[in-house]
Amino acid sequence: VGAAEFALGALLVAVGGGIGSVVRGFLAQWRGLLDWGTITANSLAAGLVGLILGGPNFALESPEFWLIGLAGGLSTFSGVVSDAYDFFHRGRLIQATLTGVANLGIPLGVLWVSLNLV
Amino acid sequence: VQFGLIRARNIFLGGALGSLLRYTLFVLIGEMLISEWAELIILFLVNLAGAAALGVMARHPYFQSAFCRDIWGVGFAGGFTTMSALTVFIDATMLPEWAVLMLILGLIVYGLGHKYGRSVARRAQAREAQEA
Repeated sequence: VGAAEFALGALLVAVGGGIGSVVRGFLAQWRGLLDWGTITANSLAAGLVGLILGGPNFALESPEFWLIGLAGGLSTFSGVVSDAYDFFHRGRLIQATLTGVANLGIPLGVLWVSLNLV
Repeated sequence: VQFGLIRARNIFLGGALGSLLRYTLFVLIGEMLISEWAELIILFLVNLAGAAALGVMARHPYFQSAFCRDIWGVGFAGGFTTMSALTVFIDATMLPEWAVLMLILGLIVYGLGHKYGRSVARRAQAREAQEA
């Protein structure tokens, strides 16, 4: 990767990642029996990836912004682990397990649907 | 906590920095590691490092202000780690056991980070009590 190409990619990733993180931060306020905000953010990110990879190629011209930045910033692994650990720490083993299952299963389903819809 | 412009700005800055670091690591390590497992190895590195860092931030006294939590916790650690790349990896390879392993290891390293952050907080409290 050339220096100029890397710099442009890095800028696009930073802007996309920042926007995705703000949306995730806003959604993270939605909590209930499970941390639905994190599940929604991860599902939206998977849906976005599916629509981009399976759909028209406008976004593939700048994958750094859409896929690595926006979808990467919108989704989170550390947030899932943190949510699961908090439940586990409070002795809520079922909710801890469901947090992991829902954050893997629902985004996978959304990705599959969005890939096959377009 | 109300979600205002200041919170959004702090999360944006942290998220931009975390995403940038993730991208840089993917480019650098991706060029060094010529293997079909390179993507999975980088995903493990990034996600486990981010989980451990968030564990430390949960209890470490430095990260307890709303500013630090937003910029480093929600923004940086959240933007650095990624679930979308993991979801695409599982869909492409049909190897969900790696994701389950990553989640279990993530919980372990988060717990270790949490424990470390708590021990730093206790030492700081003891020092303050001694000084008082």
